[in-house]
Amino acid sequence: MRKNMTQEKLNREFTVLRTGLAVTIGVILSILIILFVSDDPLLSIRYLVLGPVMSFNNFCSLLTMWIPIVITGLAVCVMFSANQFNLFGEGAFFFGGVVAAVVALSTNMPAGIHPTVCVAAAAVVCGFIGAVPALMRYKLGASEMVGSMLLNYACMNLGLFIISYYFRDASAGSVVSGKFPKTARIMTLIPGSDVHMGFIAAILLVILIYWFMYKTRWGYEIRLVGQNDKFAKYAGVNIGFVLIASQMLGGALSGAAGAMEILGVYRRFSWTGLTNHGWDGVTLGILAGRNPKYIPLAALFLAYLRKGADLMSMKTGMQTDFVSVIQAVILVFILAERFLAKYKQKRTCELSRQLEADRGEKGGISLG
Amino acid sequence: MDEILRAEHIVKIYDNGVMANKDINFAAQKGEIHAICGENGAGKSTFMKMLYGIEQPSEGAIYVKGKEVHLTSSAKAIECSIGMVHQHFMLVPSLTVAENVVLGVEPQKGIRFDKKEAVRITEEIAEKYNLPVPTNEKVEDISVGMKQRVEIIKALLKGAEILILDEPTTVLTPQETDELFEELKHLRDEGHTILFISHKLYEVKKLCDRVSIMKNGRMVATENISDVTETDISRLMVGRDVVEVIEKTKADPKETVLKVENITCKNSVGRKVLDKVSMRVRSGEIFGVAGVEGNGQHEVLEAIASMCHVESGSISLYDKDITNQSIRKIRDMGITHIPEDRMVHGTAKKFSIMNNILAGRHRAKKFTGKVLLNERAIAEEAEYLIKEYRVKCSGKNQEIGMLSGGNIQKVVVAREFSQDPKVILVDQPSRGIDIGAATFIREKLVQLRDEGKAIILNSADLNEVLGLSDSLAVFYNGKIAAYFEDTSLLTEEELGLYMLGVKKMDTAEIERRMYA
Repeated sequence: MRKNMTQEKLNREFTVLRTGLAVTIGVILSILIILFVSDDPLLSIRYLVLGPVMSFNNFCSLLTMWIPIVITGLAVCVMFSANQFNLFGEGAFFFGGVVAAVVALSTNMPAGIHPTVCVAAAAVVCGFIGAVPALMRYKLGASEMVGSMLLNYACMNLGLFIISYYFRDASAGSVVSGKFPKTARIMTLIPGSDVHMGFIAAILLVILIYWFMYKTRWGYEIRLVGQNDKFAKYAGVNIGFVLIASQMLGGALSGAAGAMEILGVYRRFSWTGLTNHGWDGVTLGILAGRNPKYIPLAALFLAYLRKGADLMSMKTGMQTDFVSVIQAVILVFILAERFLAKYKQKRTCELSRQLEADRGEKGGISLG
Repeated sequence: MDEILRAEHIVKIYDNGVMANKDINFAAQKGEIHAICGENGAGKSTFMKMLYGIEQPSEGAIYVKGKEVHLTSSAKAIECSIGMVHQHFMLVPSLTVAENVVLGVEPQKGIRFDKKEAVRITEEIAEKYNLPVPTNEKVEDISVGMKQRVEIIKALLKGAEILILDEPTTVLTPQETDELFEELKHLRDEGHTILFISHKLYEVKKLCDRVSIMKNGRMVATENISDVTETDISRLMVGRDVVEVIEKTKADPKETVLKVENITCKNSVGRKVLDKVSMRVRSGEIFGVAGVEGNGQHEVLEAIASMCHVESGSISLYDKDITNQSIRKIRDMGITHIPEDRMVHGTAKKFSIMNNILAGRHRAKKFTGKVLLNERAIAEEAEYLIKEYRVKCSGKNQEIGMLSGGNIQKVVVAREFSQDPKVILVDQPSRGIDIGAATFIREKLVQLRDEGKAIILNSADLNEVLGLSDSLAVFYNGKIAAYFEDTSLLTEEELGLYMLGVKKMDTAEIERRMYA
C-alpha cells in the first residue's frame, strides 16, 4: 500500500484505469474482428491505424469529421451536467441543418453575414425546441429521455416535410433542396479540402463552454442542480429555470453544429434521415466525463477511428459497421458500474483498513 | 437455550470507503427478544440490512441454526426464516389485508387467485399468534398499528423465526405500543426470536431480554437486560459517563427580529403539520424548539426558510413580510439554515469542499464579477473557513463526501455561519457526529448569539436543546404546547412530559410568557 493514498486519489486513478481499459478492450476487439474477417488483415489494420495520417487529404477529412461532433459533444456536456439524460442532440442537429437551409435559400445577404445569420437562426430555433423535454420533465414529471427521443423523430419528419414541400429542387433526381447561394456557404479554412471556418468556431466554443460551465455562476448552478437538486433548491437556485435554460443551450449548440455542417460541407440540403452526430455527442460526453475540456481529444479519437475504418473499407472492402461495435463496447464498459467493481471494492477495503489502523482507533469500551 | 443466529467478524465497507461495520460479532438465542441499540450512524441499519440480505458483508460470515448462509437477497433471507418489519411499511394500500399477507405466495385455484383461501390462511395465522386483523378491509383504511401487525403476519406466513423490527414504536401511539409489546412477548413464548431496534431505552428495558449496543460501527457490549440500567445503556451508546455541561453565560436578548404569526402548513398528503403557530425570536437569544419527531418543530424551521409552503398566517423579519418568498430572497435577507439532513439538503457530495462552501452565495458580489466567478476570493474564503472551523481534510479541493460526518457538518456550519446572517435556523446540528465536532459547533452557536444573532435551534438531543437554548418552545401535534422564557430551571423529565403531551400550557399562558 502506497503512502498518502486517499480515497479520492483511488477514485480518480480508477476512472482513468476504467476508461483506458474500455478503450483498449474496444481496440483489441476490433483488431480481432479484422483478423478473422479480412482477406488481408495486415493491410486492413494498417489503414485502420495509420490511414488518417497517411496523406494530407485524409487528415483534412478527419478534421472535417471532427468539427460537428465536438460541438454536439459540448451540447451533451451541458445537458447532462444538469442531470438531464436529454438525447435531443440528434434531432437538433438535423433540424439545425433544415433551419439553416431554409434561411440560406430564402434570404439574400453578403457573404460572411449570411452564414452567421443562418447558424444563429438554427441555434435559436433548436434552443426553443430543446426546452420541450425539460419543460415536460419539470412540469409533468415525464422522462426527459423518452421525450427527447420522440422529439428527434418529430423534428426529422417535420424537417423532411419542409424541405420536400417547399424547398425541393424539382430538377434533382432525389429529395434535395436547391443549391445554397454562394454567399450562404461557410468559407473554407484549408483550401482544397472540406475543412471550413467551423473548425475555428468549434475551438472557440470548447473554450467558451468550458469557461461557462466551470468559471461562471451560471455554469456552477447547472452543475449544482445536476449534483443534488435538493441542495440547489436549498441554496436558493431556481431549479426550473436552470433545467430549462441548460437544455435550451444544449439544443442551440446542437442546432448550430447541424447548421455549420450543412453550410460548410454540403452544397444543398441532401440529408434523408438522422445523421448520428447527436449520438456521437452522447458518446463523447460520456467519454469526456461531461467535462468540455476533454471533448476535443475524445472527438479526435472517435473521428480517427471512423476515418481509419472508412479508408480500410475503401481499400480492402472490409465493412465499417464494426466501428459501431467498438463504440458500443467502449461505452458499455465505461457506463457499466459493476465493471471492475470487485477490484475497486478490494482496494477500497484495503485502504479503509489502512486508514483505520493509522487513526489507531481503539475498540469499544465495556461495562464495569 | 439454543443459538439461532450468529454473525462472526462482520465488516462492511461501502464503495465510497465508509466503514459502517467494523468486526461485528453477534449472537441471538432462540426465543428471546434482543434489543440492538446505538446512536444514529452507529451502524445498526447497515448490520440489519446485511441480516436481511439487502446488503452483503465485505468480510465475515452469518450462521442460521449453526449453518453458514449467504444472504444475497431478501428472498434468501426469507428462505433462511429471517423476516423484517421495516420502519416504512411495504404494503399495497389498495389491496385488502389478506391479499397483502399472501402477496408473493398467493394460493391458487387453477390459474385464478383463491381469495377465500387467502382469507383462511391469514385468519389461521392471526389466530395462532393471537394477532387479530380485519382480513377483508383494505390496507389504506386501517390504522398504523394494524398495518404493522399485518407486516408481522406477512413475515410469519413466510416462515420467519427471526423477526427484525426496525424502530417499530416510532409510528405508534402509547396504547398501540403496549399492544405490540404483548404480541411480541407472545411470539417469543412461541419460540420466535425478535431483534428489536430502538432508541427508546425505557422500551428496551421494558420489553427485551438482552441488549446489544453498537457504537461507531462496532458492537461494544451484549448484556442481560436485568444486569444493566438505562443509564448504563446510554453510557455505552454514547461512550461518555457524564452528560457534558454546555457552558454559556446568560443571554441578553434585545429587539425582536423574527415574528411568526398564526402559521399553518400542510405536508404532502394534506395533514396539518403546523397549526396556527405563533412565536417571536429576539436578537441575542437561542430560541429552542423541542418535540418528539413529527410534531412541528422541524416544520417551523422549514416554513421560515421557505422550504415549504405556508397555507395561512405570516412570517416577518424586522416587520417586513417574508411569507412564501423565494428561498433566494430569504437567504439574501440574512436567514441562513443548517438543514436537518446534511447529505440531502446541505451538500453535494461529489463537489469539492470549496464548491460546497460557495453554494448559496455564488451570486454575491464578493465571489463573482459580472461574468466570471472570482476564483481567488472563493479559494481564500474556503481556506479561511477550513482553518477557522478546523475541518479535517486534505485541502479545499477534496470531495466533501470523503470527509467524516462531523467534518461535513463543520463545512455546512461554516458556510451558513459566515454569511453574516441575522437569523440562523439550526436543525439537528450534532446528529450523528462525534463529540468533538458537536462541542465545537455548540460553542460557535453561543458565540454567534453573543454577537447578536437570532438563533432558532431544533434538536432531538434533549441535553443539547436544554443546554443551549435560552428560551424554549415545546411542540406537540403541530402546536406550541409550552413556552419557557428561561430554560435553566427546566429539567429533562419536565420537558419530556410536555413533549409527550402529558402536560400542556394554555394559549393565554404561553402568550403571557412569550410576550412578557
